[in-house]
Parts: sequence; C-alpha cells; structure tokens
Amino acid sequence: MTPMIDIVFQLLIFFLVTSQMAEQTRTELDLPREKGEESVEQAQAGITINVKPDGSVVVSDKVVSLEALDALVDDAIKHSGGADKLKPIVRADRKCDSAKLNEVFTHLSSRGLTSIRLATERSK
Amino acid sequence: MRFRRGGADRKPELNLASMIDATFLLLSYFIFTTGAGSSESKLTPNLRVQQGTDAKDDLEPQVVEVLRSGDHVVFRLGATEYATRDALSGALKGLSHERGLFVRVYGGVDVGSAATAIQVGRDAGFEAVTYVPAK
Repeated sequence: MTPMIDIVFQLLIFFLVTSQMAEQTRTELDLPREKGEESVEQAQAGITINVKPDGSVVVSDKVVSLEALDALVDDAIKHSGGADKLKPIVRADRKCDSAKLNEVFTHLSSRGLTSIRLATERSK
Repeated sequence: MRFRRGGADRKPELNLASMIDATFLLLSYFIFTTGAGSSESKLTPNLRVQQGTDAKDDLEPQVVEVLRSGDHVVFRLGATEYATRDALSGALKGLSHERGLFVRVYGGVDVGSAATAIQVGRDAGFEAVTYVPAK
C-alpha cells in the first residue's frame, strides 16, 4: 500500500501546482475588441507584456518598470536566439492611454524588435 | 475502510475499490482544470504589427494618424479626418496596398482606437502595418 499512497500524493501535488500556475499566468485585462488575424502563427511569444488601465506594466504577474522591462526583453532575446525571432505579445487594456503603449513600443523597438503582436479579444 | 473480524487465523482485509475510485476522480478533476487554463502567450487572436520609425523611403506608405479631436477620437488620412471605422475602412480600401500602412498613434487616445485603426488596415488588405508611436 505505501508505494501506491506515495504515488497518489505525488500526483495530487503535481496537478495542484500545475493548475495553480496556469491560472496565474494570465492577467485580467479588458482587451481591444477586434477580430485579429486568422493567419497569425501560434508560435510561443517568448515574452508577454501586460499594460493595465492605469498604465502599469506587468510581466509574469509582477509590476515592472520600463528599465526592468528592457532587461527582461534582453533575456528573452538571448533565449530565443535573436531579436528577429522574438515576437512578443503586448496585452494592453483597451481603455489604457496609448501614450503608455507608445512608451512600451519605443522600449521594445530600442532592443531591436521589429515584429510585435497586439492581443485582442473577439466581441462577445 | 471495512475490517472483517474473524477467527484468530484470519488476517484483516483492506478494500481498495473506494480509494481507487476517489483517486481517479481527483485525477480527472485536476486534468480537466489544468487544461482549461491556457498560457497568455498562446492567446488568440492578436494583431501583428511591424515596429519602427516613419523614416522616409523611396515608396512612401499610407499614414493613418489616430488622435483626439475634442471629446472624440478621429482617424486622419492625409488632410481628411474620419470619425468612424466604416468611413476609414472605405477610404483605405481605395488606396494602393503595396506600400504598406503606418498607424501613428498620439497620446490621449485609448488603446482600443489604436487597435481599431490597425484592424481596419489589415481588413483593407495592407499586409505590412507599422505601429508608429507619435512623439
């Protein structure tokens, strides 16, 4: 019985942890209500940048400054093998001022990124 | 668990069936809940935009400016301002798509309106849509 109980508890812990992680990776935002593109490839973004309505920038559930964002983007570029291969997704709240989005885009551009995806959601 | 009392020579038995039932129930529950949460990097849909400056080229692209005019957001194409997406869409469809489209977005405009301009450009047939942060 003992090994079986061990395995059961291990599985339980594994699924508990993974289900919690899946919930934490998405920041609640009211995205622009556009249909987006049909042909966009579903490749891993490498980095997802959230811009909240108040203009705060959130990456991996942490509020970061634009300077810290530069460092994170540099890391992501290193991991993906070049700035041309990294296609980050920017999730910006539709009510957020574009001035903040402009700042984020300017910072991404300064790291050599040329292709960025702006997340949208279809109207309900 | 149910233990059966018997004679001195009988060993206690443990019924595993209910435990296995509970285990599989928990397993299936966690499998389904884990699958329901998708990573934010795999979200669909999204709008692909080029990023860059509006440097002059031999072939000049069409430029749509998204800016605030009074209480409203307007889309400016050349000298003409369009207040609705349908009006902008109609204007963009009549233009040459080869040279690409620049969407220059000014501060004070909501992100939703900027996304609208990009979407309208894509729908009008522009393959290359470049987001240009206005200074």
